[in-house]
Amino acid sequence: MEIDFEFHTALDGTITVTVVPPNGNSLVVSGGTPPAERDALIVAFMEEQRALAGGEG
Amino acid sequence: MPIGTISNGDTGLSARTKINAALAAIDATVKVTSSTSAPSATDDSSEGYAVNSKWFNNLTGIEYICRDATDGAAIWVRQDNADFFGYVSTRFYHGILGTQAGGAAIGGNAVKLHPIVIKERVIISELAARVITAEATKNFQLGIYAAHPTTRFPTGNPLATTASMSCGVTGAMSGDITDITLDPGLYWVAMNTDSTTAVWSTYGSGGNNIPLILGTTSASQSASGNASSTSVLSFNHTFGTWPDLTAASYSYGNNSAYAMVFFRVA
Repeated sequence: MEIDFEFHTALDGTITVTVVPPNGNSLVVSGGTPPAERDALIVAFMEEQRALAGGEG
Repeated sequence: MPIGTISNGDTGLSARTKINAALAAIDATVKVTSSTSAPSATDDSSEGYAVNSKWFNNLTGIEYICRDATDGAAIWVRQDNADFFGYVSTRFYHGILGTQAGGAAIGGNAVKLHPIVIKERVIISELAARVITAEATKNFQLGIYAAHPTTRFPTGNPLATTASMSCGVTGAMSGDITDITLDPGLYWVAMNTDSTTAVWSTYGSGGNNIPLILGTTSASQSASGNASSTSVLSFNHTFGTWPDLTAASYSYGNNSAYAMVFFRVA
Protein backbone atom coordinates (compact mmCIF):
# COMPACT_ATOMS: atom_id res chain seq x y z
CA MET A 1 0.00 0.00 0.00
CA GLU A 2 1.37 3.35 -1.00
CA ILE A 3 0.58 6.41 1.06
CA ASP A 4 1.37 9.98 0.30
CA PHE A 5 2.17 12.94 2.50
CA GLU A 6 1.54 16.65 2.16
CA PHE A 7 3.65 19.33 3.74
CA HIS A 8 2.58 22.82 4.69
CA THR A 9 4.99 25.47 5.88
CA ALA A 10 3.75 28.54 7.75
CA LEU A 11 5.46 31.91 7.44
CA ASP A 12 7.29 31.26 10.73
CA GLY A 13 8.72 28.05 9.26
CA THR A 14 6.51 25.67 11.21
CA ILE A 15 5.89 22.54 9.14
CA THR A 16 2.78 20.40 9.29
CA VAL A 17 3.04 16.96 7.71
CA THR A 18 -0.29 15.28 6.93
CA VAL A 19 -1.00 11.77 5.72
CA VAL A 20 -2.86 11.64 2.40
CA PRO A 21 -5.55 10.45 2.26
CA PRO A 22 -6.11 11.80 5.74
CA ASN A 23 -6.09 9.23 8.54
CA GLY A 24 -6.15 11.83 11.29
CA ASN A 25 -2.41 11.68 11.80
CA SER A 26 -0.16 14.66 11.38
CA LEU A 27 3.15 15.96 12.62
CA VAL A 28 4.00 19.55 13.49
CA VAL A 29 7.62 20.65 13.49
CA SER A 30 8.27 24.10 14.89
CA GLY A 31 9.91 26.73 12.72
CA GLY A 32 13.10 26.99 14.76
CA THR A 33 14.00 23.32 14.47
CA PRO A 34 17.44 22.87 12.87
CA PRO A 35 17.25 21.30 9.37
CA ALA A 36 18.91 18.00 10.28
CA GLU A 37 16.65 17.51 13.30
CA ARG A 38 13.63 18.66 11.30
CA ASP A 39 14.28 16.16 8.52
CA ALA A 40 14.88 13.32 11.00
CA LEU A 41 11.56 14.01 12.74
CA ILE A 42 9.69 14.08 9.44
CA VAL A 43 11.32 10.93 8.07
CA ALA A 44 10.62 9.06 11.32
CA PHE A 45 6.98 10.17 11.18
CA MET A 46 6.64 9.07 7.57
CA GLU A 47 8.16 5.68 8.31
CA GLU A 48 5.85 5.26 11.29
CA GLN A 49 2.78 6.05 9.20
CA ARG A 50 3.85 3.63 6.49
CA ALA A 51 4.32 0.94 9.10
CA LEU A 52 0.85 1.67 10.48
CA ALA A 53 -0.56 1.35 7.00
CA GLY A 54 1.12 -2.00 6.68
CA GLY A 55 2.88 -1.13 3.47
CA GLU A 56 6.18 -0.13 2.12
CA GLY A 57 5.09 3.35 1.02
CA MET B 1 -21.44 65.57 -30.06
CA PRO B 2 -25.09 66.60 -30.37
CA ILE B 3 -27.25 64.95 -33.00
CA GLY B 4 -28.77 68.28 -33.86
CA THR B 5 -30.13 71.43 -32.40
CA ILE B 6 -33.71 72.57 -32.71
CA SER B 7 -33.39 76.25 -33.39
CA ASN B 8 -36.03 78.92 -33.07
CA GLY B 9 -36.58 78.61 -36.78
CA ASP B 10 -37.34 74.88 -36.71
CA THR B 11 -41.01 74.13 -36.94
CA GLY B 12 -43.17 71.25 -38.08
CA LEU B 13 -41.38 68.69 -40.20
CA SER B 14 -37.83 69.86 -39.52
CA ALA B 15 -38.32 69.75 -35.75
CA ARG B 16 -39.95 66.31 -35.90
CA THR B 17 -37.12 64.98 -38.06
CA LYS B 18 -34.51 66.06 -35.56
CA ILE B 19 -36.47 64.76 -32.57
CA ASN B 20 -37.01 61.37 -34.24
CA ALA B 21 -33.33 61.12 -35.06
CA ALA B 22 -32.49 61.79 -31.43
CA LEU B 23 -34.98 59.17 -30.21
CA ALA B 24 -33.60 56.61 -32.66
CA ALA B 25 -30.10 57.26 -31.37
CA ILE B 26 -31.26 56.79 -27.78
CA ASP B 27 -32.96 53.52 -28.69
CA ALA B 28 -29.75 52.28 -30.25
CA THR B 29 -27.69 53.08 -27.18
CA VAL B 30 -26.26 49.98 -25.52
CA LYS B 31 -27.30 49.79 -21.90
CA VAL B 32 -24.21 49.71 -19.73
CA THR B 33 -24.44 48.69 -16.09
CA SER B 34 -21.86 48.88 -13.35
CA SER B 35 -22.74 46.74 -10.37
CA THR B 36 -21.21 44.89 -7.45
CA SER B 37 -22.69 41.63 -8.69
CA ALA B 38 -22.79 39.55 -11.86
CA PRO B 39 -25.83 39.70 -14.18
CA SER B 40 -28.49 37.01 -14.00
CA ALA B 41 -31.16 35.56 -16.28
CA THR B 42 -33.64 38.15 -15.05
CA ASP B 43 -31.47 41.05 -16.15
CA ASP B 44 -33.40 40.87 -19.41
CA SER B 45 -35.40 42.81 -21.96
CA SER B 46 -37.94 43.76 -19.32
CA GLU B 47 -35.14 45.65 -17.56
CA GLY B 48 -34.08 47.44 -20.71
CA TYR B 49 -31.28 45.09 -21.72
CA ALA B 50 -30.79 43.94 -25.29
CA VAL B 51 -28.29 41.91 -27.24
CA ASN B 52 -24.93 43.70 -26.94
CA SER B 53 -25.73 45.33 -23.58
CA LYS B 54 -22.70 45.53 -21.32
CA TRP B 55 -22.37 44.76 -17.62
CA PHE B 56 -19.32 45.46 -15.50
CA ASN B 57 -18.94 43.86 -12.07
CA ASN B 58 -16.94 46.55 -10.34
CA LEU B 59 -16.17 44.25 -7.41
CA THR B 60 -14.45 41.52 -9.40
CA GLY B 61 -13.45 43.55 -12.45
CA ILE B 62 -15.20 41.11 -14.79
CA GLU B 63 -17.11 42.38 -17.85
CA TYR B 64 -20.11 40.64 -19.39
CA ILE B 65 -21.96 41.05 -22.68
CA CYS B 66 -25.62 40.16 -23.25
CA ARG B 67 -26.01 37.54 -25.98
CA ASP B 68 -29.74 36.96 -25.45
CA ALA B 69 -32.11 39.29 -23.59
CA THR B 70 -35.17 37.03 -23.60
CA ASP B 71 -37.47 37.92 -20.72
CA GLY B 72 -36.58 35.67 -17.79
CA ALA B 73 -33.87 33.79 -19.71
CA ALA B 74 -31.20 36.32 -20.49
CA ILE B 75 -27.75 34.98 -21.32
CA TRP B 76 -24.67 36.93 -20.29
CA VAL B 77 -21.18 35.89 -21.37
CA ARG B 78 -17.97 36.82 -19.60
CA GLN B 79 -15.92 38.84 -22.03
CA ASP B 80 -12.45 38.50 -20.65
CA ASN B 81 -12.59 34.85 -19.58
CA ALA B 82 -14.95 32.92 -21.79
CA ASP B 83 -12.78 29.83 -21.30
CA PHE B 84 -12.43 30.25 -17.56
CA PHE B 85 -15.04 29.49 -14.94
CA GLY B 86 -13.82 31.11 -11.78
CA TYR B 87 -11.52 30.31 -8.88
CA VAL B 88 -12.88 28.41 -5.89
CA SER B 89 -11.71 29.30 -2.41
CA THR B 90 -9.06 26.99 -0.85
CA ARG B 91 -8.34 25.11 -4.10
CA PHE B 92 -4.90 24.80 -5.67
CA TYR B 93 -4.49 26.00 -9.26
CA HIS B 94 -1.89 25.81 -11.97
CA GLY B 95 -1.42 29.22 -13.51
CA ILE B 96 -0.70 27.97 -17.02
CA LEU B 97 -1.43 24.96 -19.16
CA GLY B 98 1.25 22.29 -19.14
CA THR B 99 2.01 18.63 -18.69
CA GLN B 100 3.72 17.66 -15.49
CA ALA B 101 7.07 16.00 -15.89
CA GLY B 102 10.07 15.07 -13.83
CA GLY B 103 12.71 17.71 -13.34
CA ALA B 104 16.46 17.87 -13.04
CA ALA B 105 18.75 19.04 -10.26
CA ILE B 106 18.72 22.82 -10.12
CA GLY B 107 22.16 23.38 -8.70
CA GLY B 108 21.14 26.03 -6.22
CA ASN B 109 21.49 29.77 -5.77
CA ALA B 110 19.55 30.72 -8.87
CA VAL B 111 16.05 32.14 -9.09
CA LYS B 112 14.10 30.00 -11.55
CA LEU B 113 10.98 31.56 -13.01
CA HIS B 114 8.08 30.47 -15.18
CA PRO B 115 5.00 32.50 -16.14
CA ILE B 116 1.45 32.11 -14.95
CA VAL B 117 -1.70 33.88 -16.09
CA ILE B 118 -4.31 35.01 -13.58
CA LYS B 119 -7.76 34.93 -15.13
CA GLU B 120 -9.74 37.02 -12.68
CA ARG B 121 -9.12 39.08 -9.58
CA VAL B 122 -8.16 36.65 -6.85
CA ILE B 123 -6.57 36.52 -3.42
CA ILE B 124 -3.90 33.85 -3.09
CA SER B 125 -2.62 32.56 0.23
CA GLU B 126 -0.06 29.85 -0.59
CA LEU B 127 2.51 28.83 -3.18
CA ALA B 128 3.36 25.18 -3.72
CA ALA B 129 5.64 22.72 -5.52
CA ARG B 130 6.45 19.02 -5.30
CA VAL B 131 9.84 17.68 -4.32
CA ILE B 132 10.46 14.40 -6.13
CA THR B 133 14.11 13.86 -5.19
CA ALA B 134 15.14 14.96 -1.71
CA GLU B 135 18.38 16.36 -0.33
CA ALA B 136 18.65 16.27 3.44
CA THR B 137 18.93 19.49 5.46
CA LYS B 138 18.46 21.72 2.42
CA ASN B 139 15.69 24.22 1.80
CA PHE B 140 13.84 26.08 -0.90
CA GLN B 141 11.57 29.09 -1.10
CA LEU B 142 8.86 30.11 -3.55
CA GLY B 143 7.85 33.58 -4.66
CA ILE B 144 5.74 35.49 -7.16
CA TYR B 145 6.72 38.54 -9.22
CA ALA B 146 4.77 41.04 -11.28
CA ALA B 147 5.37 41.22 -15.03
CA HIS B 148 6.64 44.42 -16.60
CA PRO B 149 3.80 45.88 -18.67
CA THR B 150 6.00 46.41 -21.74
CA THR B 151 8.75 43.81 -21.65
CA ARG B 152 6.57 41.20 -19.87
CA PHE B 153 9.65 40.03 -17.97
CA PRO B 154 9.60 39.70 -14.17
CA THR B 155 10.12 43.04 -12.50
CA GLY B 156 10.53 44.63 -9.07
CA ASN B 157 10.73 42.91 -5.74
CA PRO B 158 8.60 39.80 -5.21
CA LEU B 159 4.95 40.41 -4.47
CA ALA B 160 5.04 37.61 -1.91
CA THR B 161 7.36 34.81 -0.78
CA THR B 162 7.17 31.73 1.41
CA ALA B 163 9.35 30.85 4.34
CA SER B 164 12.04 28.23 3.73
CA MET B 165 10.62 24.78 3.05
CA SER B 166 12.42 21.49 3.45
CA CYS B 167 14.04 19.63 0.57
CA GLY B 168 14.81 16.82 2.99
CA VAL B 169 11.79 14.69 2.09
CA THR B 170 9.66 14.16 -0.99
CA GLY B 171 6.07 15.26 -1.37
CA ALA B 172 3.83 18.18 -2.24
CA MET B 173 5.05 21.21 -0.34
CA SER B 174 2.88 24.29 0.18
CA GLY B 175 3.93 27.41 1.99
CA ASP B 176 1.96 30.34 3.36
CA ILE B 177 2.46 33.78 1.92
CA THR B 178 1.01 37.05 3.11
CA ASP B 179 -2.31 37.11 1.25
CA ILE B 180 -2.13 39.16 -1.92
CA THR B 181 -4.79 40.28 -4.36
CA LEU B 182 -3.87 39.67 -7.99
CA ASP B 183 -5.69 41.32 -10.87
CA PRO B 184 -6.01 39.44 -14.17
CA GLY B 185 -2.83 39.29 -16.18
CA LEU B 186 0.68 37.90 -16.39
CA TYR B 187 2.81 37.03 -13.37
CA TRP B 188 5.99 35.04 -12.78
CA VAL B 189 6.34 32.38 -10.11
CA ALA B 190 9.81 31.67 -8.83
CA MET B 191 11.84 29.33 -6.69
CA ASN B 192 15.32 29.34 -5.20
CA THR B 193 17.17 26.74 -3.18
CA ASP B 194 20.46 25.93 -1.50
CA SER B 195 20.16 22.33 -2.69
CA THR B 196 22.42 21.08 -5.44
CA THR B 197 20.78 17.70 -6.00
CA ALA B 198 17.07 17.99 -5.12
CA VAL B 199 14.56 17.73 -7.97
CA TRP B 200 11.05 19.12 -8.33
CA SER B 201 8.08 18.40 -10.57
CA THR B 202 8.19 20.65 -13.62
CA TYR B 203 6.52 21.22 -16.96
CA GLY B 204 9.53 19.50 -18.48
CA SER B 205 12.41 20.67 -20.61
CA GLY B 206 10.10 21.05 -23.59
CA GLY B 207 7.74 23.45 -21.85
CA ASN B 208 6.58 26.15 -24.23
CA ASN B 209 5.56 28.72 -21.64
CA ILE B 210 8.24 31.24 -22.51
CA PRO B 211 7.60 31.22 -26.28
CA LEU B 212 3.90 31.36 -25.49
CA ILE B 213 4.23 34.48 -23.38
CA LEU B 214 7.29 36.30 -24.68
CA GLY B 215 7.56 35.04 -28.23
CA THR B 216 10.87 34.16 -29.83
CA THR B 217 13.04 35.81 -32.44
CA SER B 218 13.21 32.76 -34.68
CA ALA B 219 11.12 29.75 -35.53
CA SER B 220 13.79 27.38 -34.27
CA GLN B 221 13.73 29.01 -30.84
CA SER B 222 10.08 28.11 -30.50
CA ALA B 223 10.55 24.55 -31.69
CA SER B 224 11.29 22.07 -28.95
CA GLY B 225 14.70 20.46 -28.83
CA ASN B 226 16.59 23.57 -29.84
CA ALA B 227 19.16 24.87 -27.40
CA SER B 228 17.52 28.28 -27.54
CA SER B 229 14.06 27.01 -26.83
CA THR B 230 12.99 28.18 -23.43
CA SER B 231 11.12 26.51 -20.63
CA VAL B 232 12.39 28.67 -17.77
CA LEU B 233 14.15 31.95 -16.99
CA SER B 234 17.09 31.86 -14.60
CA PHE B 235 18.74 34.62 -12.57
CA ASN B 236 21.74 33.84 -10.36
CA HIS B 237 21.13 34.89 -6.77
CA THR B 238 22.25 33.50 -3.41
CA PHE B 239 19.52 31.56 -1.63
CA GLY B 240 17.92 33.18 1.41
CA THR B 241 16.86 36.55 0.06
CA TRP B 242 14.96 37.60 -3.04
CA PRO B 243 16.29 40.02 -5.65
CA ASP B 244 14.76 43.12 -7.19
CA LEU B 245 14.40 41.98 -10.80
CA THR B 246 13.87 45.40 -12.33
CA ALA B 247 15.95 45.46 -15.54
CA ALA B 248 17.48 42.07 -14.68
CA SER B 249 19.08 39.92 -17.39
CA TYR B 250 18.14 36.27 -17.56
CA SER B 251 19.48 33.01 -18.84
CA TYR B 252 17.01 31.16 -21.03
CA GLY B 253 16.86 27.54 -19.96
CA ASN B 254 15.74 24.72 -22.23
CA ASN B 255 16.01 22.24 -19.38
CA SER B 256 13.84 20.98 -16.55
CA ALA B 257 16.02 22.35 -13.73
CA TYR B 258 13.24 24.37 -12.13
CA ALA B 259 10.02 23.82 -10.21
CA MET B 260 6.43 23.83 -11.38
CA VAL B 261 4.97 26.36 -8.96
CA PHE B 262 1.25 26.50 -8.32
CA PHE B 263 -0.89 28.52 -5.96
CA ARG B 264 -3.80 28.27 -3.54
CA VAL B 265 -6.77 30.59 -3.51
CA ALA B 266 -7.57 32.10 -0.11
